[in-house]
Amino acid sequence: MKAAAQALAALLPVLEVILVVLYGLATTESRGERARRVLLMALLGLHGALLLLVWNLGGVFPMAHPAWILSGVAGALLFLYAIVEWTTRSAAGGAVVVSLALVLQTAAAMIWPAVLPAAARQSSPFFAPHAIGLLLGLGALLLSGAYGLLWVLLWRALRHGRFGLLFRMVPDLPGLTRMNRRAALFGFIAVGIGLNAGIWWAHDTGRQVVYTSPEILTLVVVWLLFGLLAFAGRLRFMTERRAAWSSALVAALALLALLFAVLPGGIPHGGD
Amino acid sequence: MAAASDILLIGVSHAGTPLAQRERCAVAAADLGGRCRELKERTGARECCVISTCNRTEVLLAGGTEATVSVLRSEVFAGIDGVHEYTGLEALFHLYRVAAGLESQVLGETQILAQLRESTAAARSAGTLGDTLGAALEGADKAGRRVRAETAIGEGTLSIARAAIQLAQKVVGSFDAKQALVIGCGSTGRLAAQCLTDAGARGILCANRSRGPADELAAEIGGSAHSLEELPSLLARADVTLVAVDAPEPVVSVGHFRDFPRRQHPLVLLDISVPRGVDPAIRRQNDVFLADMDDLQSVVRSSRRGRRKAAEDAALILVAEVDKFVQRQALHTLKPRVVEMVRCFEEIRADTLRTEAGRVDAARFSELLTQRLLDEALQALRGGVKTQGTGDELLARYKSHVGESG
Repeated sequence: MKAAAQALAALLPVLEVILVVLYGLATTESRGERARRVLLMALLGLHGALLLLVWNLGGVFPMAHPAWILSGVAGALLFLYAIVEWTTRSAAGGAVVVSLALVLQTAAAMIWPAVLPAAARQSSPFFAPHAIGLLLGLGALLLSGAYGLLWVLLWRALRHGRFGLLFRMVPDLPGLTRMNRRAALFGFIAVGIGLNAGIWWAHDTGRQVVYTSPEILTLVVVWLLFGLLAFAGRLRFMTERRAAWSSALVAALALLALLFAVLPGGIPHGGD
Repeated sequence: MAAASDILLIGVSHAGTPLAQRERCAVAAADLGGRCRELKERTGARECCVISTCNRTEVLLAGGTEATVSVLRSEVFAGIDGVHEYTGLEALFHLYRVAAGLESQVLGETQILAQLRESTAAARSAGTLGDTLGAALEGADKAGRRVRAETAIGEGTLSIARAAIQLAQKVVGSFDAKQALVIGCGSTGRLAAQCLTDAGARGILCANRSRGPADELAAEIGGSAHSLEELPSLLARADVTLVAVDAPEPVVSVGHFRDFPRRQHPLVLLDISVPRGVDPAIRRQNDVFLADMDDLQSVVRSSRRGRRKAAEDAALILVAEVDKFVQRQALHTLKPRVVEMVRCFEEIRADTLRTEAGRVDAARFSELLTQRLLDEALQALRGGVKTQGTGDELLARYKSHVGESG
């Protein structure tokens, strides 16, 4: 089973490369829609299978190793993208989002542990929703950032009179805003669940919750930002341009934080 | 009477001259006739017609002098980059290509034909159009109509107004529940308003300097009419503003955006006027997207693809029409020679009758008369009109012209 998990972790980037190509082709010709959808579904299934496999092997929701976090974020990103694509009926930004998932999954495959880290048995049922909420939240942050980035790039291209590939491949600005808000709404819900489940998990395992700790404060800030982005349409000061810039900037910061702060040690208490 | 070689065309277009310079030589529709008279006088040409559209300002002359070109270059197109100049057949080829929409920003667009007719009418009423340019413009009009009817050049073509709408949709999405404003209710403004209506815009605000055209357009499309004094409040209400005015100064300035209310979506300003109707400094405003004619050129460029074959078909039609014009001109040129020859033959007959009658018999007399008439006819033929060449030669010259000009 361990070998199967390793093989699956290595196979996922290959399939994601094919999916990136299919999404890339979709920008120039309206072919391969069915193949794209099937492959996306297959990838989601394989990501789910990998998660369950590692979960089963370690006996704990797999967050103790950076590779699992990366793989989890990649899966969450694809999952949320599939929902956004399905609900908005637009494959816009697919190539960008799947490329991001590809990078994360490739990094995960490169550092995939040969030996499972020692992990204590999970002592609280709240850990899994806490971890899943945070993974989905991070995925939503990256997805929202990708849409924000596309918005900013298209806006700049329009302002500078460049009507090339980006102009043709990316949908209109309101479409990107809609997808950004959809991703932010998922993030708002996911981080909300993750945050609350985390507090319950801490209480359940007898840990002291320090509400002013950097981890919790960061999560609260991200949750609030998601709220602002999700409901930006009702907030006068949150123009489409500001929302796009904010999401792109925060996603970039989150990605950096993921790479330089969280990954070296795994999510705190991830093995408990 | 002149031949095709008598024609000169000089001007600027979107192909080689930036908008900021093009608008310096643009001529308002109302001033076309006056400009024709003025240029005819100053250049000493026999005939003159000025073609001025959003994308080009060209002066078409017949019977100009050696000083004509230098007068135009130093006075009309002074300090302007990319001035093109064609004479004779090249001028005709260019004119016919303009009429066919092959020189347009939007390949095959139809608006140019109407603009060409407007220029022709203005020159005719100003009395600066004669047989040569009259026939050339008529031939260009016919060629333009034929190219559109017989080739696929116009299929899927975006007009500038439609390209503007497409660009606006990229910024505001669907026009449902969006407020559109059209400033300038002339022919271009009307076309733009119609495109907006087709795209789903409702209750369009129509603003014009004088209320008459605004009222007319508003009634036509179910919008509301306004004057330009209401611009600040209209701009604040609008999501998409299309400016199609014929004014020397911008009608929308940075001042209109002082104390502008914050908005969720960017404001779209589409300026399809030449000279520009929107101050370019507005580009620096946050949350405002301004596109002018130069920007639209990039948008419509993609619609040029896949129509190379149609352009080749169009070339055959244009060459055939130019050939017809050249032949007609040649016949016109021959007419005075024929009259002269008839008069000359009559003189020879009378002279032969006076000198030879009674001296020679009838057979010898007819021989002498035939000889003298033939001598005269051969001499006339030797100095006769040289036509511009066969159809194949014309096509070769057309291809060379297209290769050189674009």
